[in-house]
Amino acid sequence: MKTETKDRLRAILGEANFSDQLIDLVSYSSDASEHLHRPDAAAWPTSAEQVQAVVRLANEEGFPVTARGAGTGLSGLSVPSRGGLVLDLGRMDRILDISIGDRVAVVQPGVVYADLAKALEPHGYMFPPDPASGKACTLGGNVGTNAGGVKGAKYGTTRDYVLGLTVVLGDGRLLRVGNRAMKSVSGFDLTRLFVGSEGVLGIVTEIILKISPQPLATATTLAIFDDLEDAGRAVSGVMASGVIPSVLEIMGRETLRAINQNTDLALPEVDAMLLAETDGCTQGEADYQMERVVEQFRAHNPREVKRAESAAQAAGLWKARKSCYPVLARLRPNFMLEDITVPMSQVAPMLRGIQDIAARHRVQIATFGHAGDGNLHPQILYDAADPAEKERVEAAIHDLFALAVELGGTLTGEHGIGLSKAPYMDLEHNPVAMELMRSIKKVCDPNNILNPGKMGLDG
Amino acid sequence: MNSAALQALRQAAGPDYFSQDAGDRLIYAGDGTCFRYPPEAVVRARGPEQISRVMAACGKYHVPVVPRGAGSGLTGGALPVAGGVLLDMAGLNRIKAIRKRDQVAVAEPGVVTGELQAAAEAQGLFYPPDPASAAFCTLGGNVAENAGGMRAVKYGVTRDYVLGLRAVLPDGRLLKTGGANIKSVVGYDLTRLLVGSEGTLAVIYEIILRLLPLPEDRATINAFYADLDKAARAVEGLLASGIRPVACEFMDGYCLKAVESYAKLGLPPAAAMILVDLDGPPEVVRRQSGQVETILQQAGGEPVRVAGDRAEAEGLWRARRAMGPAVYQHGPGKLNEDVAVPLGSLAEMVRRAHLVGEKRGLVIPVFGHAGDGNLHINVMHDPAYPEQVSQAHQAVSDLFAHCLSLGGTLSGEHGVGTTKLGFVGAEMDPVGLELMRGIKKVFDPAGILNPHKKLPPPEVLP
Repeated sequence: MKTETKDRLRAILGEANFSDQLIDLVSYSSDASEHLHRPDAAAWPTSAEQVQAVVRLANEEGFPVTARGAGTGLSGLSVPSRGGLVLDLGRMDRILDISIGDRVAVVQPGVVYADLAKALEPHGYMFPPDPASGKACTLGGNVGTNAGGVKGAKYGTTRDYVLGLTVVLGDGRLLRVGNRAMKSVSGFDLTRLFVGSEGVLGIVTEIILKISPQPLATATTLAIFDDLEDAGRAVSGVMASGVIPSVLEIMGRETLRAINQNTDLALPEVDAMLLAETDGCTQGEADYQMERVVEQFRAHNPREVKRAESAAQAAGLWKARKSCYPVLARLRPNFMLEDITVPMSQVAPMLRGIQDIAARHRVQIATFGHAGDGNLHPQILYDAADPAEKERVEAAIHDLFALAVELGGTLTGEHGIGLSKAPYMDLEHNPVAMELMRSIKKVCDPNNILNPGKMGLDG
Repeated sequence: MNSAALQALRQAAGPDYFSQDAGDRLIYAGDGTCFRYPPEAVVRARGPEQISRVMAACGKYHVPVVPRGAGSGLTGGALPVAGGVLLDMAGLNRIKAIRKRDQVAVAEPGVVTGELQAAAEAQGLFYPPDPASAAFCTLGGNVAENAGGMRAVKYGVTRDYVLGLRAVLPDGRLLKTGGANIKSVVGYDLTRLLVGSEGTLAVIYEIILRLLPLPEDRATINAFYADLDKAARAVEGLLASGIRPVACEFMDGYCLKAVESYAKLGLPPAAAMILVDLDGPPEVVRRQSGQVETILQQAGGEPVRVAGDRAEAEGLWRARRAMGPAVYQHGPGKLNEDVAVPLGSLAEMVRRAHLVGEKRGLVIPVFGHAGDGNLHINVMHDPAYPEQVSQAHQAVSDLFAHCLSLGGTLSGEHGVGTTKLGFVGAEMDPVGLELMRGIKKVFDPAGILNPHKKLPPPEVLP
């Protein structure tokens, strides 16, 4: 990046909101994936106007702009793989409005998920998706990836809560789509086109979110199974029972072992553990639904089914579940976290297939995930310094994707394509769909300024 | 259309699926609006290959194509306003699969919504979207319009159930989006871009829908209010309780009066009625209906009735279901609007609609889906009096202005079609419109698919 360009960026953003210092460039060269690439400069815009001016300059000078939330993405979404400018939206972190009457919250993209949760709590409201990274990730990132979480089976994903957006397009124009109404069909659904578009179509500068009343009561149960397929069938049974649990999570043997090594929960190291939560307006309602879930657990040969006796006990179980990713990450020098989703009937075959693939390629794969919506997270643990192991890991990942697609599934349920899965896009999309997506990208970002190289759409 | 084009179309469609018969052209000239535009030819869809051939022929001769489901749309989406070919999708009416363990249905676009609901129910499953026209509208039309309905408060709209689509692009190529997965973030959300695009981007020939387990039990409660504010407070209290009602319907005093005079149900005189439906396991429904009764009473409901069984529930629903025909008690002509406003502005929008009525010398009954802020505003008038017609059209402009000033939207579920084209520019950001035109061009560079719908041409922008 030329010195004059940097000077112009400083003029747009102010000295304090721009840096080309090595320490910042190194910080912004990675996210939570294995990808690395250093940007030429980093900026912290504080308004939509600044974002517009930066994007206009980028068009003039031809440098890439990669928007970034908290950098918790797992597919390399915010790694500036072609250099240029990283735009960290973390300083646009104001909650602009919470309207209980309208049931909406209006926020800037840099608001941390947990901070919105905290602000909604006194009103008895929530923004349900609840991604595991909620303490750190930002709402702009949630929109960019269409983030899901443990509550997906009952409450859906980020997409289901985004009512409107303000977006800076790839040519610097400002776009407002959607509104505060719960339903609208007055144009093409641009709002949902931007949700999950990984920052390649526009940079979101304001978000109108639908919020929901918090359930007043919950019940939590865990069930352990010696046989993986029994657990898979129990999941199908629960989902067909007429009760929709607010959470239904699965953890496999390797995951349980890792949790035990890092906590004092002393979980049994069996083939699979299921963790379910039901919720409602009264304890009776939550309990009644949980009884129905437990019936299904009992019908599929569990070794043990255990209700959480207290809120503290339930909290311990949730802590265990949310710790899966970090505790597993510590087991070996490197890991890849996958995010396969399969149709509901295929959860058990997919789990079995993951075990077979691990054995066949002699790699260590720990699995956990959101069984209630078919979204599984096989985490592959390895040592990147060992070229032979790395090769086996790549072969295993290829087989995982192929199996998922063969079972009618999809490569990623909530983490996104980014760089990690870009080579696999055409496993799922025919050339017609790929061409349409490329053309839509051109409509929004004619000069390919925004987050280039992502999603496999620009060659 | 010249004879070469007609010849090519007949061949592309297959002679048995092609008609220029005056009777057919007349039948397909109209939809749920009062407008009539006879097409030049009618093609009955047979399958993707045939549709693809028809689209290619139409592209070659620059002939407009308008896909049509049951023609129950209320904004002119299925009207062949530029002539050309009317593509009747109703013959593609197979339910190809109901996969119980995946909770997924695969259906052709001509399947009647009510038939899919029944087929799902027979397997203990549930297709929640329930537009008022479910007995005759088609799934293809529902997808094209992103149809809503009575159960949207708890279950959402058609968009929330479409997992994947198979479609023919205007140049004849086949497009596949999505699959049978509840979650997927692979690429842009083309599926939901097609949902609600009113047949302007692609011709859908197969739909993958999410199903849910069939709720075991239901409950229905209604309440009458002496003034609007109390009714609004009831809705507010209900939504804030954490209970997710299936339906939360609203009718104003004009509606109640019309229904009473039409159907003689013995309704008490009131300024508003709220009707609530709940579903779930019996135990849950029992607890919740007690809570709802209390909430409706505390807001000043008098009387509040809880249906003791299904027959009584049907009785409570009768007033709401009679609304369609009953509204004509207030006049032989109706301009039917479909605005949605933020939940906190519901009562204000109703009040303003009534004021517009007073100002224009017309009766404007309002009913609708209070739980999601979607109001059906009916501007009643007598088309025999030109002055009333002109006042009615001005009233619609007034109503849209009020709706937009409250942060609302012109259409919650009926779509833009042709009838709202002139108003879209007032709601939509100009950049958004440009983007939508750009997307339309990506899908349909020649502009042959359902032209002059959904997006106003640049020259009519205010």
